[in-house]
Amino acid sequence: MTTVLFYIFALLVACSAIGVAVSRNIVRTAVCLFFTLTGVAGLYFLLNAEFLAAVQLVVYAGGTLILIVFGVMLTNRLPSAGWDVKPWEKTVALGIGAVLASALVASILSLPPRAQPDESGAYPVLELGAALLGDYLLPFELVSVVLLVVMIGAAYLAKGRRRNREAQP
Amino acid sequence: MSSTLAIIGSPFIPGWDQLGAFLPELVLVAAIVGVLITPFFTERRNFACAVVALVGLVGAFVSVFAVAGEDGAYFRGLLVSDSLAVLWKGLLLLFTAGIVLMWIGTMAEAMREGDGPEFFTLLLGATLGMSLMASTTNLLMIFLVVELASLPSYVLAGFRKTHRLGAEASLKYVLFGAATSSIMVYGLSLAYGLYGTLDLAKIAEQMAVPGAQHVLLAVVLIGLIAGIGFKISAVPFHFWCPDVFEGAHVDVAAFLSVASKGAALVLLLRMVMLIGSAAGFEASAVTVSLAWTLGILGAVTATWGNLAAFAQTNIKRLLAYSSIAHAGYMVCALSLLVARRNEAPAADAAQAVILYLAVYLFMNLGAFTIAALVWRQTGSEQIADFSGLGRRAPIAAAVMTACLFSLVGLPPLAGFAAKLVLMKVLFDNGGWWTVLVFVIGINTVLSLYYYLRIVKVMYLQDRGEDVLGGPILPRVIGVACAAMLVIMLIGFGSLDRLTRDAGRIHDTNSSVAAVK
Repeated sequence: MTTVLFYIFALLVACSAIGVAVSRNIVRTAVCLFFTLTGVAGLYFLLNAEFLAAVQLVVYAGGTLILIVFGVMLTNRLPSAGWDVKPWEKTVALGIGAVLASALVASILSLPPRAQPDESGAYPVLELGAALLGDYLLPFELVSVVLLVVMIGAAYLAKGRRRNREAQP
Repeated sequence: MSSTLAIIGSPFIPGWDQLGAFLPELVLVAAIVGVLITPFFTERRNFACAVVALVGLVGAFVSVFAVAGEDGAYFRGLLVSDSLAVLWKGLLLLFTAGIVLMWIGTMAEAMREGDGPEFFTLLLGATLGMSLMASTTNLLMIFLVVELASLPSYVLAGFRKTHRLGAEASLKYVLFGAATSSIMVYGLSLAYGLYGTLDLAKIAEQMAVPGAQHVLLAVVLIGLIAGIGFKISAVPFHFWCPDVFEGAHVDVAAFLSVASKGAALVLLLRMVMLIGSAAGFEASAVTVSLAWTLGILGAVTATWGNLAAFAQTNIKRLLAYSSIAHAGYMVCALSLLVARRNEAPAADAAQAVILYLAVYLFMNLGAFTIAALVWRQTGSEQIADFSGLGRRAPIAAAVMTACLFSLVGLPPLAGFAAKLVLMKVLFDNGGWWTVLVFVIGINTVLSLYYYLRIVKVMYLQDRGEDVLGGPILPRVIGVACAAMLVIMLIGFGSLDRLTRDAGRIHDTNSSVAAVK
């Protein structure tokens, strides 16, 4: 079972990665990238790295990708970037939505009435916290300096030209 | 409850002994905060921030002396302190303080009021990264501090927002930096996968075990050389350098020319030294191929930089290619660090690189300061506009001449001694290193032409322009640099003693357990 899933995810990652590289349309590239990132998250799940998989989904597939699409929408005025939804697309979307909803409902119903506490002694998040404030305290604190400096640099570059306004008080 | 505690492990609260080793960087961070809150108290924000930054840099410079002599690993092995780190931090902080002075003297008026806080935050942030680049052997830290040094530099390169060339240079710099640093992080992640540790000292030890050298190791080393070669601007990772120097302000170009390259060279030196010493400086597949790679990289970089400098008419582009060439000389010396039978040549080469950096700092600061002065007074960066400088600004022209002669490596200036030591170290080892000596020698002769062309324009051409006025401060900095070049030659013996320990780097393997 795991092996089959692995090949499915690997195929997904590989094919969509090729799509990212080959596609000339930025929106298509973004969608392909989404499948790549999701596939990688699936591989993480198979490796029992749940935390990493969740982070992968939230940060990459969720945050970064939405940012890319927003960036495209806000800056690209080419007609190719627009969406004109066709009827059959609506049908497909509705079908996928229905499948997803039923899968979610089914999985919620199949949950045991009360989740058992994990007795295995593995608290990945706890260990992560201990590592961040233990062995890796210095890089952890250093990242905050990096972010501060980079944020100020980005704000400077994004800052509008105030010269005109300041010239005429 | 006790099982939970066992999982949590021991949170790390650094004591004074640990923070002491981090003192110069702490002062820099405090200076960043100071620069950020200064604008609330004064109207002359740019100047006030420059003063705060200068005070912070001088404070950090002084605190470097407090760290000196306390060799060891700190922060659970993530930070190492030894004489190589101390020497580089001293040089870097001194140099950055010189850059701030140069900014006050020449560039201050060109900056819009209110941009100072951002500028100095970025400058200090990059300095922090470059200072830490000299004192870590942990792969995670290496990546982090290289980024901390690079990211502010990208913004600094494009700090003139209305300047088309500056924006283009900044973009080129970002794209090139992103590409090379992603190659580097790929190499680093492979190293972690192969050896299961982030500590380069431990990785080097495992690399040295015969038969344990994986093919992927080549990818690791290529990734590292790409990432650091970009910072050094070694050929073929040098394309950003001339464009960034041309597009950025003179002060930023000067800062990048020494600080960025020097930090990367020191980092490379430490890494190569660790790999060499773990292998007992014996010839193995890894060390020999690394030595050859570095030797060829250095020779190609030096030659390419010198040849490309011929055609330049812009002083900053010319100095950019000159800095590429000088980086090439130093990379040549790094090839000695591996694949020799004992430690002595490696230690000598490390010392030669540090000495070269110390001298290079002053000649570049002097040359860039005069270029900044000319830019301030004439608004031009063309070499042709240096014409008649010998009459229009005798002191500035004399300082420029001294710095250029030193860059060539002519006596009686310290550039001569630095180059001589570098070539001697290479020559003493015979073998194919003799070829490197010839390459450096030929390059020196080549470089004579384009450096002397500036001198010729300054003294033998005159278009009858007015006397070059301007503030006194840049001239003072220039004269101080030129004087240092002479003093360093006279006192080369004591300089040599001061840097003797540069090659004795701290190995985290030996002391991490004790520090914990």
